[in-house]
Amino acid sequence: MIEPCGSRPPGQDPQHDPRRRTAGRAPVNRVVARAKPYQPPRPVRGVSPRPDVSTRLIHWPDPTAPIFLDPSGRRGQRLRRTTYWLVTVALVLLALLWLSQAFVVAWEIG
Amino acid sequence: MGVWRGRRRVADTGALEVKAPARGRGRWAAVFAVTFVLLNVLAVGAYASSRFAPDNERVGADGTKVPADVPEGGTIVDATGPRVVSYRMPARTIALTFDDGPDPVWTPQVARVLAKYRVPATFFVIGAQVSRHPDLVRDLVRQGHELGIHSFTHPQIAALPAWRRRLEYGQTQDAIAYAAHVTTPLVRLPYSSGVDALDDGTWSATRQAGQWGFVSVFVDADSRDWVRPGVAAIVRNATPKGGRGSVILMHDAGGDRAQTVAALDRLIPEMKERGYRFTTVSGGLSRTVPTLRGVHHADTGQVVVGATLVWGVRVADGTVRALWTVLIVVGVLTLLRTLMLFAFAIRHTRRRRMPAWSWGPPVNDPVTVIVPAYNERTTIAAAVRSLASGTHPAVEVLVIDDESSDGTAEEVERLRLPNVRVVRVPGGGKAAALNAGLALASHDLAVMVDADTVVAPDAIHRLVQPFADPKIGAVAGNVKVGNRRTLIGRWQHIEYVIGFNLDRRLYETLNCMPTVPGALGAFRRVAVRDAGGLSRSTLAEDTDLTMALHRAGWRVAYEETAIAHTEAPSTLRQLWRQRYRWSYGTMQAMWRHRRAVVERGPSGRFGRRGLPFVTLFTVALPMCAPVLDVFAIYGLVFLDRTETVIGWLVVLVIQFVAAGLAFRLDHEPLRPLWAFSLQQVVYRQIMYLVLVHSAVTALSGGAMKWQKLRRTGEVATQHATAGSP
Repeated sequence: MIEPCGSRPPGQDPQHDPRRRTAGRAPVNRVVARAKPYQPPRPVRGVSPRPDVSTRLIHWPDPTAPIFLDPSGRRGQRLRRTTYWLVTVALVLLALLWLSQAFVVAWEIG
Repeated sequence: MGVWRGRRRVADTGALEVKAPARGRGRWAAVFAVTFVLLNVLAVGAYASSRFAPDNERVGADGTKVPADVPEGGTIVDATGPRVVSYRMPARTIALTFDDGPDPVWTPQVARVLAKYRVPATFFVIGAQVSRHPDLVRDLVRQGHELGIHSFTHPQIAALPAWRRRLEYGQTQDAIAYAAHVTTPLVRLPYSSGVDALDDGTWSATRQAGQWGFVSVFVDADSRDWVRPGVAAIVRNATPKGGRGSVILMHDAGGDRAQTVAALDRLIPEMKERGYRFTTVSGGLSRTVPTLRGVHHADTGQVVVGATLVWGVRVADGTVRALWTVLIVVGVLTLLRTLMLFAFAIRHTRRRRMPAWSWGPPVNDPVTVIVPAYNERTTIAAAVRSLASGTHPAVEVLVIDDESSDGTAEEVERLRLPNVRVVRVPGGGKAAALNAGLALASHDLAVMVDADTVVAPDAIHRLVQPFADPKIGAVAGNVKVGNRRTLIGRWQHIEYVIGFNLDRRLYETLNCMPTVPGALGAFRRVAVRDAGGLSRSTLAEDTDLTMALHRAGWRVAYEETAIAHTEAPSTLRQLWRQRYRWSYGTMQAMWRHRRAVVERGPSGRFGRRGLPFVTLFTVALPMCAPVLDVFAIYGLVFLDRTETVIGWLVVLVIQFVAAGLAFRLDHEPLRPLWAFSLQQVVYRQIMYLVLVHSAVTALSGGAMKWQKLRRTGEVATQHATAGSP
């Protein structure tokens, strides 16, 4: 990665000591190390700032994208759920109709 | 290898390669459940329309079991207790009774006359009719009339088993309970008249009705209004003799009851003048028959069961009515389409066969034949050989090998034909291969041919002749099924001959050809460029391109003399896959070009004329066509079987004649048509299911890949054996 100009003066790092360990855990202040992670008392809600529209990635519509395809699968799931729900309701109503008639006959004849 | 846009990989070697969805059994369970519900609903509709009723059967003609005093006794028979007791209406008392209602036309008219003279009456209602018109029943009760049970479906009660009798009474009672929140102890058996006409069967039913708590009401005077003898005759028949009390039978449904209404308007004032009083059956006998005293309120249970029944009948009636409407629309459209096919095909053929007919000056321009191939080693050699050795001067064959792994390209190279080039492209699907072929083509006329298709020697030459007309941008050839040995092959052969010789002639005349077949089609390269090339966004790139050509203002022609033989799927599974892709791709193409409907110029012309026509006859009508089969089965089970069979045979004959015409126009022998009748009971239904499957996939946004069909090489072998060039 190229470091931006002006972030560090050219030449050797004056604070670098080769005798010190360069691998392992970085030394941090004890208070910081032992501090519990911050947990808000209740879920934080609010409106995040809008992203800068001018720098947002432009999504061009893909002319080769397959028509009707819903890669997320949400449309199919919704359709499937609605169908199952309607079919279940229809079956329950049908069962009620037949059972009510069968029950009447069985009760009266029996 | 893949397709990259910038640094992003947008596609792999398949045209539309996406993760296949997990195939659940729930989808099939839902299909079976919907079919099950539909069958039940149709069965309820048929039951409520008296389809099961054995109306013409007479049973128990003898009267040996009828007690001697019953025929001599009164018309109201109370068999609720251990002893059967008969009652008569008091002297100079008339109980008007109306059977078979309620009817939305005649019952209110009858009620209006009764209200005019402030006369109450007893209506013996049919349960199914109560379910259909509960508001009429509610109004009758509100106006002070009495209700009685006349069964649910008007069957010959004596011919029914006990449980069905009980069901007939119980269902009618429940329907009345829901409609008017009352119940009734009165029953009149269908087809019954006076007590003197009681036979063993009716007597048994009367005794049983008594055991279930019903009082049977017979008739003193039958007005015989159901034969419509005239107002005077009805009044004469209904008039009681000698001042006796009388239960008079009339009808408020079952046909034109204008005479009944008019007769009622004369009978009531005349009888009142003679000193008769009018009452209900219960009103006349409530003092003597304890069962008939007071108002019988329905309990909540009965109302709930009645509501289930009433709504069940209403939904069933609505479904049957909707299916009838669809059937009529489908029937009319099919007939219209058949007539159009006949008229346009004959006209088109006559015009083409005229001696003076020609497309213009002969077209001998060089042609590039593009053959996209993906793992077609079995068939490619025969296809390329037939293309390279045609009669057209200057043909360049360009085989675009779409990353085959079976040595397709090597197979072509082994032929060492001088005018054949093989180009290997990264796998990107058929559309991408064809685009590559168009880009690499040396000539302005391009013919696209599938790698499993063998063309006739003069096919390419004939195919490009329509380009003598500069407005024509594409030409569809006449593709035939090469492998016809199996039944599936024959069915497809019949379908292809009809499709190419009737449908395409019609579409060309109307300038709305939906597809130049990928198996054999010729294009001007400039026209394809105008149309934006072949799109990868649909699975029917040929249909998509043809529609785009229409929108770009190019005409599309059909050249029936340019003949090619293609290898059709040889198994049901392969056929399903191919048709699934075709119908799904056609839907995609239609959707892609939907904006043409609102555009101007040639695009708008195609969008407003061609596209709706094609959508109606290639998607909407075939999708609704299963209703023909549903009603054929419905008719065989519930309606008149003879009429149903005759109706179905008429449809079959019309289609057979259309098929015969197509075979004649194509100079094909008629022998394969023996498989036509079988095609109508298996193949057609499979095609419906495929279309429904495609529509569901389109609606749900499911993924669908290009599925490679397994080639048997039968057509290629036939070509090699025949020794044709």
